[in-house]
Amino acid sequence: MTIDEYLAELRRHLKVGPLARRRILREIETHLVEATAQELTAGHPAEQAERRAIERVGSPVDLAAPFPRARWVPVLASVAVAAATAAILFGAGGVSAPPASGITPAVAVLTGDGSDSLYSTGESASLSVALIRCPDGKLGSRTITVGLLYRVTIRTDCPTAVPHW
Amino acid sequence: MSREELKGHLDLLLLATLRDRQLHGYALIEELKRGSDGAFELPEGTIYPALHRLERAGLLSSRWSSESGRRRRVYQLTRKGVGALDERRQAWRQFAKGVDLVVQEA
Repeated sequence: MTIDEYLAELRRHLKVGPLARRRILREIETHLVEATAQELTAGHPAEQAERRAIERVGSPVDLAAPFPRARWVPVLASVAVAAATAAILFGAGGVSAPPASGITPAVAVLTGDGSDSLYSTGESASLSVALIRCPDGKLGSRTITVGLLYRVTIRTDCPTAVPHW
Repeated sequence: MSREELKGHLDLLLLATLRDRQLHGYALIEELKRGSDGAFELPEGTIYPALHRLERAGLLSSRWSSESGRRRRVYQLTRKGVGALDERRQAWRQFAKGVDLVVQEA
């Protein structure tokens, strides 16, 4: 395993936020580089020096495990859902989005680019919004779901055709 | 001392090594080995979760430092860390004294 491969493996196993992940990877990379330099000074050939440095640091899985899982991701997802709910209930016109994707202008406002993925995690939750006023004045319902990979989808159920924004 | 036993004392060892100086992770490990005369051998990566945990607890602070053209994260004790070190040192001395007494008796 090379240092780059080690860092890629470590990155895969770190379940921290992006800032923490960047810092940890940078610190470990510096450590590996310094350890390799020391092994080279001790007379080991380059490949062996890199391998010995990696052995000294230890398994990337074991190293990643004690770092606490990022808590902010579920919090931000909840904020995103709450913001989407408020935008839907109180109106967020002026932004278009393809209705076939299930994404509403409210989500497009949140992401800024019409995409339907906000954050990447393995957790999911769902939130239902009960009643809305459809364009024809009748009552309908709207459901917000935060699924896997924090894909936010919003489904509108109105008695008549899909409302246009 | 086994690795598991050593892990239990790692916080005290890190706090003590950082007393009155600032060190980055690699230098910290080297200083631990030197200061213990080679007695402490741990996977070197294990100190980073400990350093981050101690920083979250307010016992350490850290910053990026550029020396010799390389950017390193250096750690130092906070005031709270100094207090924590003194407490843990005291607790360790009492523990070691108790163990000595029992072992000598036996």
